[in-house]
Amino acid sequence: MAVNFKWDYKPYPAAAKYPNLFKPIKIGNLIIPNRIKYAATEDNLNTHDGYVTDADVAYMRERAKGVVGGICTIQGVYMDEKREGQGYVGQAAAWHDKFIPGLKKLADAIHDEKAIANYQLMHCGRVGGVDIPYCAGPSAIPQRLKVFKPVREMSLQDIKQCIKEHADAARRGIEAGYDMMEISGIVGYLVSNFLSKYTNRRTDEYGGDIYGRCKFMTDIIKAVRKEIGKDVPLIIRLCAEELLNDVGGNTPEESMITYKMAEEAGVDCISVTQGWQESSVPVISRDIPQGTWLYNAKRAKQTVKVPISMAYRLFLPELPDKAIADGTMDIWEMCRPMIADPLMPKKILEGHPEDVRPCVACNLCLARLFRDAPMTCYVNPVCAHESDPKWQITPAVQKNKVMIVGGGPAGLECAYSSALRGHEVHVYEKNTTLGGQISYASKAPFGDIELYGIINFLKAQCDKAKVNIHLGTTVTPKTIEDEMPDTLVIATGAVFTPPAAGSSKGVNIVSAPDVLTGKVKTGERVMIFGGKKPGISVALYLAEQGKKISIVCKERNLGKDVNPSLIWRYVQKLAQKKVTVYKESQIEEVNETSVVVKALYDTRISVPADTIVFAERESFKELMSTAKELGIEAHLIGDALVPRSLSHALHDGYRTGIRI
Amino acid sequence: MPINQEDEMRKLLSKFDALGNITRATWYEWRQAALSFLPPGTNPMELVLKAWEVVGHDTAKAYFTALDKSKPTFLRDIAKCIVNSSTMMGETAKIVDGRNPDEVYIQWDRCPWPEFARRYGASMEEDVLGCDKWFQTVIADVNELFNTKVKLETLHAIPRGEKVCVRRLSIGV
Repeated sequence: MAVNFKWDYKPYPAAAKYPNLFKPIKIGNLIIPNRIKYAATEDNLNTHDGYVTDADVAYMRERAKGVVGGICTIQGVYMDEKREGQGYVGQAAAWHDKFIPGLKKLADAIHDEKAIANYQLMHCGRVGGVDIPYCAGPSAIPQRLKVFKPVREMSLQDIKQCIKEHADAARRGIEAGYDMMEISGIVGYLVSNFLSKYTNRRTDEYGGDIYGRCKFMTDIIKAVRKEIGKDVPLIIRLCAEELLNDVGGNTPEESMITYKMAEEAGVDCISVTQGWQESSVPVISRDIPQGTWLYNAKRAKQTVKVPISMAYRLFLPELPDKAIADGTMDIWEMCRPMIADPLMPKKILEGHPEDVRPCVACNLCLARLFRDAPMTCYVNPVCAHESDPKWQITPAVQKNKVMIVGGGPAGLECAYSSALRGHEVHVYEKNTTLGGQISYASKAPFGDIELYGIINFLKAQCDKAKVNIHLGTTVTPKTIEDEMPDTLVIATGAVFTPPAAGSSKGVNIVSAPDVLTGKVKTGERVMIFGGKKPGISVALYLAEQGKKISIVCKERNLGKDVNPSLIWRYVQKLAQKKVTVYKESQIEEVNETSVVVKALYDTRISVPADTIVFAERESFKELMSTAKELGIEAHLIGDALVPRSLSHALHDGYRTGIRI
Repeated sequence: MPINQEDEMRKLLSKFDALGNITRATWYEWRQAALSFLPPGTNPMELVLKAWEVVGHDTAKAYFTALDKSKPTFLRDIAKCIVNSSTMMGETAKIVDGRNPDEVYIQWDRCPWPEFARRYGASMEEDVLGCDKWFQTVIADVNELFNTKVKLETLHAIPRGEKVCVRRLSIGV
């Protein structure tokens, strides 16, 4: 039995609190010290011809540190010179020995942190061919999503070659020093394409019934096993539920047969997933409650004997700890929570959950990857900049008195990061609580309460960094003159502005924050002015109460400030709630019982309404002139600069904080 | 000032009608431009059928998200999509029930396309076969994606001098 690194968790506070997470497990012939696994995640940080970069090594090193001895998986590598298997422009390659040194750097970085280096083989199938005009699959089934390339059916020779490429790439992984091997067979990648009756219509030995459709997978498992030997644990990631009923995908029962077949073919562990990128139902967005998918892990445990790991909406340690205790699963796998905070499990182990920067399940990371952009994180400004010294918190050359106006996400992020650098930092908040615009934004339904987690995190960081907080204090030009800070940061957030169309006695005009915080009540027929996130939030909040809602927005589409991987959820929910949307429209006139909307084609529509909720925002720059007059260094950040998203507020705050 | 909703609707419809006509005119003008670059003697039908095939693939993608194979209304929902596409282009179309759940008819009572074909000197048969190519491409793609055996047949065509266009949609096992 092999034990690569020895870990003793007993001295740490969470070892007793989460005993199931911090106990060893045997996978194949390898003992893993704990039940934590960083799941393979593309990051688009490597060169576009597949060479590993220092940025990717630094990214992985942080995550390896985070798993505190557990499994750290590198992004899936593509394995063919033709690049059919490449699904992401910055995906690492393993189709030639020339890639081994780069892959070794990743393995070494993981080992430096005494973690288990897991190497993933990933042919992206119908999601691949990112840099060529087509992609490969078992059958040439058209794409539902326009972002993907037309599929070219693989010949028998192509299939044999592909299996060989898996084995060759596996050998390179072993030569690079990895401890474990993983095959990706999920979400629409090649192995899953062969398994699914939606995408596999072959009539040869690699198609037909579920057993025939499993042959490609089992051939790969056997070929890889032959190459890596019996002592290297082999994992496969498989869909337990494709969620493709609308196009005739596999039944959940068929999916469990794939699990059995994989086990029989020789895998030592199965990672459970659900849904494809083409699924029309949500799987991992914020509106899906945490732990929703655990029933699939349970099904897997009832089907196979090998250990079961699972990610997907398991962001907090309580759920997986209990699931392991219950025998629902064996290993807590995660990707987005460790994009948001690479050290998340380490902080949990050390008894500092308040230091965990929480993922808000917005899927910006995915949206970026599909648009050929490097990984970034909505809430973690340092993500993908781990190797860049300019992005780190370093001691200030000169210690300044920093006055931050506004205790929202931008102000708090700036406060703690600048305080950590040695500055004397004062945050002034006009309200009696911190949180700024997130205080009401988090009142919106469908999981937005999770947004407030970032405020709790920032409060804790400000406390630890000894930031001076002045609640209930409105800052005027005189306050600034009295305090005379060296640096002024204006993070007051945006100002909500009513429509210019005037008012009437019959229609009540109120602001989105006042509605969301319950300060005001609306009538039954409500028109929302503004189609960005605040407008969508308040529309859903009121629609949940059974009110008749319409949205009037200037933009061509709703949610310009919501990332593309999340906006579809809101659009779907608005449609389900029968919210009427007038795009590229204006409120022209407010009458006694209705509002005149000037819509597309210059058409005027009289919409019955008793309330207008304004959700359009403008920047707030008033205090800048005071700073200029007093000759104080001043920064305007977050929504006060340009109304945008929580992400922009955090990123603005951090970047300002590390530069003052 | 109270607005005249009827007047607003009338103006909107007029703009919509003009937009449809501009789209048709643009189609035939592009056809003219493309033909001018092709060698003399090229059969316009080849160009037109190819163009409708390209359109058909794109239309199919729009239908993919509106269809659900697991629903018993799958065939009727395809017909609904076609009726929607047609009415958006200023045609008058409706669904007519078939003799059993495995078939449904679509009937067009009005179609402005032949008038434009005449105006731009295109043959009426180009219109019939072009339209057919569009629908056949859509249906082929739907069958590919959903692994179904939907069949579309053109039974009557206004450009051929008939009063209505009728197409039969049926699904096999």
